[in-house]
Amino acid sequence: MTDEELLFKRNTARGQKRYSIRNGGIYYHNSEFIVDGTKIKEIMGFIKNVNKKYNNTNIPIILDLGKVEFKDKLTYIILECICHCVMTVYGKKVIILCNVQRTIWTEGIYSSVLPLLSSAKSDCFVKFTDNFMGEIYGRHYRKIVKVEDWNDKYLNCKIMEQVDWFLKNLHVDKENRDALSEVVSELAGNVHDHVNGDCLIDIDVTLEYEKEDDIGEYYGVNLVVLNFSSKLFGEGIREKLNNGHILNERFKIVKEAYKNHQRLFSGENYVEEDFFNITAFQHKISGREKDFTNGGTGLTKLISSLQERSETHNCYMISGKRAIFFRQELLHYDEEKWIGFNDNNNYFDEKPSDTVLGGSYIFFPGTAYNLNFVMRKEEENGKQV
Amino acid sequence: MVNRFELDFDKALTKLSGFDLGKDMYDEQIGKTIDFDKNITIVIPERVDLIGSSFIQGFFEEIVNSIGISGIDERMTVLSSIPNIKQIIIDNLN
Repeated sequence: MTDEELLFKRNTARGQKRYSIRNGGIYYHNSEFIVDGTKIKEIMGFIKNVNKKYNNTNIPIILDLGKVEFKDKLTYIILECICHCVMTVYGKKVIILCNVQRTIWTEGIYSSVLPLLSSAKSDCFVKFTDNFMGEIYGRHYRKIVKVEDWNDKYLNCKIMEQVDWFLKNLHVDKENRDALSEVVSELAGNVHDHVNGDCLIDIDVTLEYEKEDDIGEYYGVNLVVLNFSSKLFGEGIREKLNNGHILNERFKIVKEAYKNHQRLFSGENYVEEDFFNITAFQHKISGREKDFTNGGTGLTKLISSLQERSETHNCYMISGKRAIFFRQELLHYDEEKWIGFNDNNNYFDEKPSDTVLGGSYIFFPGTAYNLNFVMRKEEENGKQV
Repeated sequence: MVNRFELDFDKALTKLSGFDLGKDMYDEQIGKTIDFDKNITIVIPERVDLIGSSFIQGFFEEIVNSIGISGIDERMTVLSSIPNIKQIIIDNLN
């Protein structure tokens, strides 16, 4: 994938600098149960240091994670990207030993490419790198949209068709299929428009789960869309604000809001990047050269409608060191089509809610969406289907 | 001149998405001959069951610039198998 190596370049290498060699590989041992951003950062630091020290050898890296639970889908997808980069860019094999706890948010790991790395057989590595680039099998949809794929003017439509077909085969109802396939197609299109790089799409639909206090059945639809780039999500907005381009009346209001928000930036709780990020979601405001977009209005409407139909959800976006959490109650535009991401829905002079903003343990070079929904299985003709 | 336009594109597609595609289809199939002083009819092939907001914005951009959303509401007919298509279009343009 384009710029995948930025993961290593933009994250500092802290962590152990002494290594043990076991079972023919350089050995990393994890003793914690939850794999989250902190752990991913530690693993990246380990690999980066190994790569420096053993630059000229192709000795494999063995990641012994033990019994673990991944925090969410994006976490294990980033681990996939790390392994892919190590194997295709640094030329080292990676072996992962782990026993993963099943959850509705991360069940997709069983059908992902990561289990292929549990073996040292050569054909598994080949299959890993092949399937990393794309696979539609069972409950798993994976596609890397390459820059050159956009030569096909119907690509957006075809992504929509493919995602819909995949979800239809797994009996996801039409209303949710429509919203999900549109979200994926819009996000992939955004990557093409904003950074002109490759885009990774990964979707899984889980088996049925039951709640202790409910007779109904539930399934998870877990979706990640990401791209790697030195251009972060809010970068285009920052550039436009800093080089004085006033492209339309609404952008003048953004400039005023920027002045107001500069007084609100406070330590790590609310930083400039957050303002640029929320501004990129405003109606008819874009970081692109071309100034004709609806901003993120379509996207936020779709995410909100999916959240409304789901039992529970976990939706956020990260770019660089910052995250935006999509809280359904704060995903509405006012009459003038501004969104404040706060209780008063005031974009102009109030900071977004603390529940919306957050930091990311790793520096994510590009933009990544983690959109997870737990849906109740609909009943049809009196029976659950 | 009949101000009626039936969209023509890849027969395998049942969904429309993408701002640029919407804009191109408008430019290629409608832009040169549309008469904004008359009523307008857009026919979307029956096989299309989903239209993304980005396509709507690209396709209708020039039309909104010329007759506004109120003009679309009052003078445009959209024939499609998608229920409430006109309202969906207007919602996405507002």
